[in-house]
Amino acid sequence: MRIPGKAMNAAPSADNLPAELYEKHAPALLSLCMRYCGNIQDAEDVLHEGFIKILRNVGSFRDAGKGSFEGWMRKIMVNTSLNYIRDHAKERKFLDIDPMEDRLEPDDDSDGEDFIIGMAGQVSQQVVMNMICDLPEGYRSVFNMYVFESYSHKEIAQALNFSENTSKSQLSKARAMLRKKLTRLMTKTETNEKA
Amino acid sequence: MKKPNQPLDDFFRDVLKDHTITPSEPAREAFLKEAASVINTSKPGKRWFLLLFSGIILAIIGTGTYFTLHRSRETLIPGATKTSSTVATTVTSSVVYTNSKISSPINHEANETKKVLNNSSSLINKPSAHKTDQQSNHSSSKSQVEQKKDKIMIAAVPPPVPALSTIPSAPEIKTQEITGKKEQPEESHAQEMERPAIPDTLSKPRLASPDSIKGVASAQPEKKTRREKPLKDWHITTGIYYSPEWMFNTLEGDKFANSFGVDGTFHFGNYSIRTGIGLSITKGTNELSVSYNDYLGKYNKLDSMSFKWNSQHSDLVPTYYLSNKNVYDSLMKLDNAKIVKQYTYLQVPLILGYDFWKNEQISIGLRAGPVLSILLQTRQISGAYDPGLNKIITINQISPERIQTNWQLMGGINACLNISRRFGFELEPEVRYYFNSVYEQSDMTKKPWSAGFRVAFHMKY
Repeated sequence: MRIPGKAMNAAPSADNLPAELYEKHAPALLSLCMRYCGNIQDAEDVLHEGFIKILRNVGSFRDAGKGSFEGWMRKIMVNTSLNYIRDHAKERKFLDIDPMEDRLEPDDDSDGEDFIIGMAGQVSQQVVMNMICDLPEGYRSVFNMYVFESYSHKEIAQALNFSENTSKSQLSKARAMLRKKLTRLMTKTETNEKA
Repeated sequence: MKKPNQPLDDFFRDVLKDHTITPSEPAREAFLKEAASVINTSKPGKRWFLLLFSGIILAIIGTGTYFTLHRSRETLIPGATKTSSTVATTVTSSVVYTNSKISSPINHEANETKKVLNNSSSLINKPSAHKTDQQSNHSSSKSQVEQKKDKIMIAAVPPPVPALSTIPSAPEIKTQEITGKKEQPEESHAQEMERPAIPDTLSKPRLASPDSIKGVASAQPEKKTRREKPLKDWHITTGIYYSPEWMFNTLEGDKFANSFGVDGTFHFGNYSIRTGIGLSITKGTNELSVSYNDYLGKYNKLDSMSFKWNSQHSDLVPTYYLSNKNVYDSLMKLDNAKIVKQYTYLQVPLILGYDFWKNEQISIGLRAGPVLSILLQTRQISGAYDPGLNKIITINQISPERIQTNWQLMGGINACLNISRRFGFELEPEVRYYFNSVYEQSDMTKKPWSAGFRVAFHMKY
């Protein structure tokens, strides 16, 4: 049974559903998990856990009968990723969200970002993914939720159990760090071209 | 409110829009393997079938146990409570007609009864059999049909225990042999032929000698009269209980809870209703997410300064006004702190019971019913989070709050040992299923369940 690509108001219920779901959606969802977890091992664990949740609750989605199936799956993966990060943060005890070497002050965000528009075709997906993965956990979660999942600061604050100001601050710092990395990359590329 | 358009955000969104990573083959296999089991267990039809099947199996086991115990009680308890004279009468009656070479199912029954009886009966049997042989020789002309009739009637009519003086002629002879008294002159063969086997003896009871009556009566235990008193078919017990309980499927992993209280049970026949009031005490850890700035040190901040002209030395003397300022890192850090709390619940059970096996000392039965838990008190038993000199930005509680009211379904097997007529102990292994989570946010965990046992001491009224 094929799953409709856009609006999936009726979730599939065939016995080979797990394999079909996995084949179709796992690559995109693994990319999502990778953005949150920062490494492939954790991302695969989260993907596994998230898919099991999807299978267990696919009936409830069918009963609710609203929204897109892909959006629903993405939301489950995001929640699973955040739970995973939180559980593992407990083990590490300290969630060092800002390494000393990259300490940056909040900036004016959009100033001097014209060069970024020109970089769109020059940077590979893997490099960009690595930049996100290299962010500290706290920054990474906020940045992903705000930029990719379009959460508001209020929603992020509720999900991660901190204040809206903290969310804004962490997003700002994440952007600054990424901008710095992109600038370095740009400089390096230009130097190589000149050489 | 629409978010402001950020070129950086757009850049990352555009670049990673179609980004995919193919999962590794082991990850795929592991998922498909677990998914197969998930699908099998989550099929509602199959779940209902499993529940139904389990119910049928339990019912079969319960019924089998009940009938086995019931039948064994019927077989053993009456035999044990019969007086020796009754036993003697029964056995003798059986043996009289067993030796008459008539094969009948009742013969086998009589033989089986004989086997059940203890060895003391065999001492009685020997002279009886001897007499019976003589008697059967005399009554050789008696028709087989008549003998069958006699035997059936003996087997059908239960031996009249209290009115031993009315025992029929043949058994009476044997009874007198047991008591060692001189037997009555035997009836002639002709008289015996004319006399109906049992009805005659029932309608015209012969008076036995006072000695023989005394001898037989002395063999009857005193309990006999006590048993014949009509038993009150209901009673009430009250008692105290303690119940340790291990909970599963909670956020903090497995948990241990102690419950204790008082309860009262109304028993009617094999059924019972129990209710009461108790306290359940458990501990739990609350996690806090603390964001803070590290303390780096302090400095003296110059608030203001003033100058005063020193005319003696012809210079300006400055006066500095300083204040101490702490310096914190601009880097915000997160810390998880744990606080241990103690929760006290009020528990009100309403437990229905059925005793499937019962005697004067021990009863075993099933117990099931709802239990209502109400959160009475939450007390912090560990110290509060100490930030030291660090500057706390926010403290957020990660662990959800405990729910105020909770319903559970309890099921268990109750074993009760009465140590006297008024007092008794109960041991009850039990399992509880929580209808709702113990946390406010019910989606944080699966519904908990617990296993434990209840120990109670009760007094009967």
